[in-house]
Amino acid sequence: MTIAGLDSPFWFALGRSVLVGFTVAGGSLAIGWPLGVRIGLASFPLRRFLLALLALPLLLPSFLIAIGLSMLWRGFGGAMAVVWVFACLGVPLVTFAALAATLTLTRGQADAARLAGRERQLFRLALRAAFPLAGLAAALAGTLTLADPGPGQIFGWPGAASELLTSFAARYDRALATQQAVALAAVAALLAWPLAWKLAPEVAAGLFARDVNRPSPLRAPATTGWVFGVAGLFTLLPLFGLLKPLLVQRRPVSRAWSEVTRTATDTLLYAALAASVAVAVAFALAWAAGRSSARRRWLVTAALALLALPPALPALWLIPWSGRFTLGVALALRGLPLAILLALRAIGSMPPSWANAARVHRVPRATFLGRIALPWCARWAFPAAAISALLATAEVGTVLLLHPPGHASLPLAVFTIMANAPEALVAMLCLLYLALALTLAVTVQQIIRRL
Amino acid sequence: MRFVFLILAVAGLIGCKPSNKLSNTVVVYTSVDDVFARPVCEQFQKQTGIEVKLVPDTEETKSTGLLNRLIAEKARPVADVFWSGDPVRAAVLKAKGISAPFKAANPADATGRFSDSAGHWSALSARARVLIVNTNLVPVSDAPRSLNAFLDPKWKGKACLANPLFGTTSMHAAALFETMGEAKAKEFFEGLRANGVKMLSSNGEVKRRVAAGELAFGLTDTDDASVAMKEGKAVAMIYPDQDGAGTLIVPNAAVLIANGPNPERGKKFIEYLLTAAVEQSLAESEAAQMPLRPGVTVPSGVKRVEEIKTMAVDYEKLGARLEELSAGFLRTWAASP
Repeated sequence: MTIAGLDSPFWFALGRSVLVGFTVAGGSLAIGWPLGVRIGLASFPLRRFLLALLALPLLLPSFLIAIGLSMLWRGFGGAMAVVWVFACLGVPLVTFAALAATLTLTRGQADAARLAGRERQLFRLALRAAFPLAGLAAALAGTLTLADPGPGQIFGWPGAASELLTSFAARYDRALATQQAVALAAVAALLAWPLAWKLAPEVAAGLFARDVNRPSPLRAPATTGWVFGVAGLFTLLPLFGLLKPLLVQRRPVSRAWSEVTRTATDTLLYAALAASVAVAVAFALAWAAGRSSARRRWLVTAALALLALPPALPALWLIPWSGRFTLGVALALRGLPLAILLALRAIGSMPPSWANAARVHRVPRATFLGRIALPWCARWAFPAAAISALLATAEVGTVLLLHPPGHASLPLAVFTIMANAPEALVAMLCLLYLALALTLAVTVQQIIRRL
Repeated sequence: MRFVFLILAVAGLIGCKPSNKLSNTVVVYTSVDDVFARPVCEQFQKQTGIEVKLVPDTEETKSTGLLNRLIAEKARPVADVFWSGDPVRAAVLKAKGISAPFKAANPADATGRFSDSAGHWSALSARARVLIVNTNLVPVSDAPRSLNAFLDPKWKGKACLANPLFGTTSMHAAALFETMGEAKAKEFFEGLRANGVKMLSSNGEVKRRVAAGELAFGLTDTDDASVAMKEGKAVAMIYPDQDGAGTLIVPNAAVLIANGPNPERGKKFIEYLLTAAVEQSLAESEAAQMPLRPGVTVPSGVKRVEEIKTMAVDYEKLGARLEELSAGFLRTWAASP
């Protein structure tokens, strides 16, 4: 049976993908949303350190997490394993989104909620306030699973992305792969539309608070620490599996280091290119959407549909123009959806009174842009750039197809040498990659703090 | 703020700069594992002064593959040489008009048994498709000796192979369809499912799971099995069907890309690949590849091609057969639970 020119095995695989996507989105929301809110309101020992640990899986390509899990727990496979791997990315994503939203609550709001119903009421208020961002983050996490064939291939649960991989990697049929990708993106857009309709205006509107005081923190009950610990363990376990060979085998530091030095410059270059293109395009689109709710909804839906596209597919069409810049543009597509959401938030939360005041006082447009609008947007542009850079760095298929010979990225090097290299070398490379990504994340955090 | 914009501007400028100086370089795409291909390229560079820009393919989860890149670059090739880990991908390139004929003066495969008669690929050092057996679970004397063991109820749920849509396993599947015939081959694959044979993501994963003792035996390549043995894992390597249809041999194939940017240096690189020195170094490496050239000394444990009974296949036909199977039977088989 064929529907829209695609046969039943493809639709069956797509059904599997949608199931995994929904489970990951639901699970990530169920764990990450209350966790992020709780962390945002509470104060407890080692809070920052534990947050940094929770962020670690976000820095790694999903296939490395999958390999880590398979090394840790031999024989584990099927849908549960695939969901676990993607939840390792989804839970931190939703947690950080909920945390970010909770941190925008002001002391006035918190005090009002406490007066109305003590801490429980404050928690409820924070949950409600965090839902739009956390919900969208969960939708993003679910959508990300649709485009990624790696964990499904490793754990024997192939989805629609595996069908696409087969179409172009085993059958060399770009046209079929494109047709399948369009179907996948259309299904993602269809599923994302109700959510985008409900949440997009809220996400973009944001809050411009005159009260900039932070609410006084809750004294965290012991359960917060426990829940945090369990969530952290759940997401970090696969990393232990990945690094396990370093405990039992000789550590090939110099061989791994030579791979890092061979690829580090290009890795950073591709990340910088992808980040700058993604941020520039995202802010241009968000600016074009302005304060129109309809345009914001369309943009959020399009962003989610774009996220469902396997990144290697656009790359296949760009091969004739392969090179560093083309690669940067192709990699930017990976981070673009998230950058769009942050850009919408930035533009939406800028008070219209600023522009009005500038107009009344005849402030030149360039001065307003340079002194007011850009510094305001920079607060959102840097996280957007950092996320785009990290997603771009973790992408392997696109780099394989478009990188100039002799200029591979570090994850691609890991991916290519892991075939028959000693496990300790692969583990050491992963460790160095993690350190590189962590350095990048910390640098961006420092820049944001100084803004 | 300005500093950040400066960084982004510099990144943009470097990104726009053409990255490949074509003077004295040769661009080599390879599906041979990076750890084995890179030392050979470095040796060539040392001997000739020609810089090798190596683009290796990936293994785990199979990325889109270099073959797609070569196909898409057909109008404006970037590569000079494709050093393929098997002749089937070389046959695909020939069929799509991407390779150019080139016959080296001193081929490794002097009989031409594994090479293209028109010179579109030249064979060198070979791997074989072997059974890797965990010796803690199965004594070597009781180890399976034939692919039929995968269907034996004695091994139900204890054997594994890689996804037959990708890599050398796909070539092996096509070879089975060629040698057994359509009906028997389908029966064989259905039998694998019925006997609980696990399908894993790659040959490397087959090696890892068998070496870990999770499964008793699996089907993989000699280089994977050899690496596991050199790492001291409790595994043995069995050349299957020595009393029957023979073992499938997977020779490397050196392909000159038509209209590549540096054809002369490309030919020089292929000439180098076909030398006894390269075959010897591949035999001595962890890949433990079997030399095709007579007279190359091999370390103990590495067999010569003439020492084993090989499966009789026409590698050129396998390419077309594989495309057909990937779109049909194997695709459905691999997707079924």
